[in-house]
Amino acid sequence: MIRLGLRLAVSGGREALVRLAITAGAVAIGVGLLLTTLAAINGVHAQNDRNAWFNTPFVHSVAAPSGTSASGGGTSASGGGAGASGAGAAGGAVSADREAAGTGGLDPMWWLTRRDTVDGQELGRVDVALTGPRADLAPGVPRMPGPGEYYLSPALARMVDERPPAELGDRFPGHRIGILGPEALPAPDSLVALVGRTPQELTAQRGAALVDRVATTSPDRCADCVVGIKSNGVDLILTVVSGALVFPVLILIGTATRLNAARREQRFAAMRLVGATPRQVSVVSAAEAAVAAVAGVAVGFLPFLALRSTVARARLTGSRFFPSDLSLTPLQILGVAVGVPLAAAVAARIALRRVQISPLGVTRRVTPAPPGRGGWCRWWRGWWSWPRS
Amino acid sequence: MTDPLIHARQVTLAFGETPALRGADLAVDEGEILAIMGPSGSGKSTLLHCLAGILAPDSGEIHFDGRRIDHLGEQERSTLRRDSFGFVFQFGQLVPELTAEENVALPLLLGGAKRAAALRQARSWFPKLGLDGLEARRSGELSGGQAQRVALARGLVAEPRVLFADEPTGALDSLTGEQVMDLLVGCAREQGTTVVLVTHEARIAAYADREAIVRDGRATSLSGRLT
Repeated sequence: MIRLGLRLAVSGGREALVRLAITAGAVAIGVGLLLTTLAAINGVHAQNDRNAWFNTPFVHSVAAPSGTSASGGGTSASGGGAGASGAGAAGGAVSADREAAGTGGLDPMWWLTRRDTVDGQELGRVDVALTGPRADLAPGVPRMPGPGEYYLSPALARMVDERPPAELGDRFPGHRIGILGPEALPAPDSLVALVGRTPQELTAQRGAALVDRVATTSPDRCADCVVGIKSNGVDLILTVVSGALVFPVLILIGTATRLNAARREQRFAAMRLVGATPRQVSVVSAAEAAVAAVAGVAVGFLPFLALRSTVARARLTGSRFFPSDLSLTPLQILGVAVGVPLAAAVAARIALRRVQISPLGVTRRVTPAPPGRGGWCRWWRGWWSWPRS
Repeated sequence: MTDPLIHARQVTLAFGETPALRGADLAVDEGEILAIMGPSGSGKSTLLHCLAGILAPDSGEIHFDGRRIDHLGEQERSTLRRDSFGFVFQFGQLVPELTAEENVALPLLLGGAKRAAALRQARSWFPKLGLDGLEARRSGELSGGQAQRVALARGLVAEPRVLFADEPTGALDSLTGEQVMDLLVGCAREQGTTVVLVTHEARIAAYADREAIVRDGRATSLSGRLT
């Protein structure tokens, strides 16, 4: 029966092909939107993960050795366009989950994350001062900067190069030793600086903390993080938006399916006449629907690829996305590739349960309407007047 | 006298408030060609549908080959239609997406036959019915007479015990209609297939061995036995 369904869908003549193309096109639009939404959700998470290292002083601060101190907390920090700020870690304060200095054989370092602005744009600045040669490495750099060295993000480097030093470049003492790699940037246009300082310089700074390693935990899963976003809210919004986008597509799919409903019903009636059981008709219908859905899924990757660069430019979180962050996991691809045709087949079978296909034609099953207000009143009166013993 | 192959007793059926059959009795012997005649709306097609297991009567009994079939479930009636009955209706009822040979092979495919074997068996009917060369055409590419002959081939390909024909020439001109009837009767006699033929044309009914008249939902036999 499955083969017969495939045969009817694929080689049923020009009309069948047109019907298949319309349905597949509608499914493709829906799948394109679905894939784009999934990729956007992945992008939000990936962007958030890129903020992780800014939270280093809030999650990995350790007790400062006696004789050194940083003035107390309360400073705000920013993740280079991620747009979050909050209380910094107090120097010397050790939270329960913070580990002792020297964990993993790494030399601790002084760290200060803070927010600055350039022309109203947010600039994330990280000042570090190493206490030894075996310090942990920040993302996007080959080595940590020493005193008088700094790295800039590509966008910030361009701005520095285009302006007089007094306007921007003088904020970064020393000389530039490189460009921060994408791993260190929440967005392609993020303004971020990683500046090397001496421990003496940083310990005098309010908000600086001694840390044993660079944070890598996503802000999503980190209670102490202050830079980054809680992406659950964005996920919810994207899901609702995608639902709103997919709804008209579902209507389109439904309309495309009904375009040849009369012909389809005529076909099923003819099959029933010569002995097809309701189950056989149902399998044929499901196979037909699955074929259109498979074609739609295959084509649906095209609108996704076309929309990806547009979504990457959209500032859903306030920042652009790296296009590579708008990718899909193999599980998501597999889920869509298998789930959509499966859902189409199930929907076709459910739709057929609402009609009675007899050898003489199709009749709709009529479900009695739930009792209206009057009906409930009558029911209530009837129940109330029921003799009680 | 042998037991009839099909036996209907006091069959009633109403569509909503409108009675279509009001206690119809009918017996059809094996191998005979029975014409059911009657004016429009008399219930002759409804009676055929009940005899063929397409419609379930409200009351009464229908027996086929000694087995009561009026209370069978949907699944069993489908199987009965597929294995024991063939159909030729006024408008062919072909599946438009399938080729002529696939339409003929459809009952065999539904019965679980291998596609190649089913198509081979289906093709063997094309020369018999003057359909040579039309195997790959779809129903939209066939004339009315050709489509009806394809429907006839489909009705007979599984070698059914009974062929039910409801106005098989109703949509054809008289010459084509006679050609179709010649083939229908010829093939049925050759296979020993019983034919129940509904028509309102005396010219078509003349092909039958016996006639029954349905009027106001009741059947009357003009020749031979009624029950």
